[in-house]
Amino acid sequence: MSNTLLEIKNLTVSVEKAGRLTAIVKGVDIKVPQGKIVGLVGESGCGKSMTAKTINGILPTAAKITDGAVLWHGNPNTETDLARLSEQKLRKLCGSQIGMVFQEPMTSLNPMMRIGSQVSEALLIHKLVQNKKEARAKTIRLLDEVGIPEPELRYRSFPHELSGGMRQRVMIAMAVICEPKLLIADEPTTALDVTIEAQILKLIKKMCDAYSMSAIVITHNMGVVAQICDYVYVMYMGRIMERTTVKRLFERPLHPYTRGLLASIPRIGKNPEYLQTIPGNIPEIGKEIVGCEFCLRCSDDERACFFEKPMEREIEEGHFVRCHTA
Amino acid sequence: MGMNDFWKLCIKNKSVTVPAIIIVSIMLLAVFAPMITQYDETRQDLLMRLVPPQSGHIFGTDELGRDVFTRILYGTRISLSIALFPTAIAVAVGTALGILSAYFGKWADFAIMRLADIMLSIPGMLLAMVVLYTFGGSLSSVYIALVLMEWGSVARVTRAAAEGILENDYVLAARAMGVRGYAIIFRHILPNLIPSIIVLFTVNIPSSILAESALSFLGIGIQPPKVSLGLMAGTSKQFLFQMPWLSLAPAGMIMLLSLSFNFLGDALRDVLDPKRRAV
Repeated sequence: MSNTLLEIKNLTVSVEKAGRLTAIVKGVDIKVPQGKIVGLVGESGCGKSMTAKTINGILPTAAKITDGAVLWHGNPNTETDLARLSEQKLRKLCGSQIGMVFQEPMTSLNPMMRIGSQVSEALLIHKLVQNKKEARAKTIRLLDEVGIPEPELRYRSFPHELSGGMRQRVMIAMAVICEPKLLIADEPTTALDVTIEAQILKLIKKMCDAYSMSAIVITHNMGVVAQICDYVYVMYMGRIMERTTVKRLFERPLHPYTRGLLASIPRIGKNPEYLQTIPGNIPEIGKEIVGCEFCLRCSDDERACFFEKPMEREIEEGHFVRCHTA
Repeated sequence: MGMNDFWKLCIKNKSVTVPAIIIVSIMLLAVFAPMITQYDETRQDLLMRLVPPQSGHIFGTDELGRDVFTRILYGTRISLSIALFPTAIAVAVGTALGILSAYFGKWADFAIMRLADIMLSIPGMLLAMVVLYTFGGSLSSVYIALVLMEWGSVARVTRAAAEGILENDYVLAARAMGVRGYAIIFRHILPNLIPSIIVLFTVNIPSSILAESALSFLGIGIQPPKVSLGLMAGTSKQFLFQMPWLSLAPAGMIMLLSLSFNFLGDALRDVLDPKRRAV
C-alpha cells in the first residue's frame, strides 16, 4: 500500500496499576490512507484517545506502549516507527507533520497567551517562516480561513474572550498552521452544542480538502462519523471490533456492538419516549475476559462467545469484523 | 485572566488596596527618611538621653540620646530590604527548582524534593543561627540565612502548582504541536504560575521580617552601629517598664509591616484564585 500515510500495527498500550500492567489498547491495527478521514468510534474508556495519543507520543506517564508499531510514511518510500522515535525527533515531526485538535476547547488553550502567539508558536518553533512578521501574516490568514471574524483583532485576544466554538476554530487553526499531513481530532465536537458541531465538522472536512490532509477523527457519535468520515473503526474495550468504509457500515453493520451504537442514535419523531441503549456496563479495566469482550452485553451470544476470543474475519471485501455470530 | 483584569480586580478590592497603601507609605517614609527627620540615626546627644516623647522627639530618645523616630525610619529601611530581597531570591530559587522538579520528574524530582525535605526538617531559626554564627552577623549573612530558610517550602508549593499546570490540555496541545523543553517551561508553565508566585512572595515577606527581627533581637542578626527594628526592640528591653515607648515603637512598626504584608498576601490569594473569587 503505497498510499498509506499512517499504519498502526498490532499496537498494545498498557497502564501500570498497582504494580501490574493492564492492557487498555489490545493489538490495534489501523490504516490511514492518504487524504482520507478515518473515524475511530467507541464509548468512553475504550482506548480510542489512548490510541491517538500514541501517534504523537503524548501518552500519560503511567501508560506505555508494550507492543506494536506506529509506522509513518511522511515521505514516499520511507518508513518511521513513531513508537520508537526519540522524544526530540518526535517533537520535531509533531506539529510540523501531525496536528491535533483536543476535546475541551475551554482548557486546551493557554489562558495566559494571546490567540495569535499561540497559533503561530508551532510555525516559529519548526522554523517554517523567516520571521515573526511572516508568522503573523500567515496566522491571520489562517484565522480568517477557519472562520474567525476580525482575525486581526482576535490575534491579540486572550482565550477567555472567545466562545467555545471560536476556541475550537482557533484549535483547528493551531493544528493546521504548519500544514501537516495528518490531523488528529480527539472528540472535537463533544464539548460543543449541536449547531456548532455541524459547523466545526464542516470546517475540519474543508481544511482536510484544502490542505490534502488525512485525518483521524475520534468520536463516540455515529452522526459525526456519517458526516465526515471515509473509513470507520469501531472500538470496544481496547479492541477493533469492526472496520470498513462508512457506507458499508451504515448499510450493513455486522457486529452486535455496532448495531447497538447505530440503534442508539436518537431520531426525531420515532418513539421519543424511549431512548435505545446497549444493556449493561463496560467491564472493569484489568478484568480478565476469556471470550469475546462484548459477550456479556451482546444480544445474540453463542456458547463460543464466552470461551473463545473471536478472530478478525473479512465478511465482504474490505469489511472486517471480530465476532463469532456475524 | 489577563493582567488588566488582575489590576482591575485588585483596585476594586479594599482588602488589597488598604494594606497596599500602608506598605507604600511605609516604603516612602523609609526611602525619604533623610528629608523627613533632621536627626542622624547614629548621632548621639548625651545631654538628651532617655527623654520621653515630646515635640522634636515624638518617640523620645534612647540611652545614648539618639532620636527613636529617626532610628525607626532607618531601621525600616533594613527591614524592608530584608523583606524584599532575600524573599525574592528564595522565591526565585524555589520556583526554578519546583518547576524543574515537576517538569523533569524522575531523579531530578527526587533529588530536589529530598533536599527541600531536609531543609524543611531543620527548624528555621536554628538553621539561621548556625548560618549567622558561621558567617558572623551581617546583612549578607542574614540574607543567606533567610534564603536557606524559605526556598524549600516555595519549591514544594511551586512543584505542586506546576504539576497541576502540566496536566492541563493546553500543555498537551503545545507538546502535540512540537513545543518542548524550555519553551514549555517559559511560555506555558511560568506565566500560569505567576499568580501563585505573587502570593508566595507576599506571604513569605512577613516571615522574613519577623525572622530578621527575632535574630537581631537576640543580638546575632544585624550588628550596631547598623540599626534594625528587632535590634532596637532588643537593646531597649531593659527599659521596658520605665520607658515602654523605646521598645513598643519599633515593635509596633514590625507588627504594622508584617500584618500589612500578611493581609495583602491573603487578599491577593483571594483575588487570584478563581475558585475563591466572589462573583
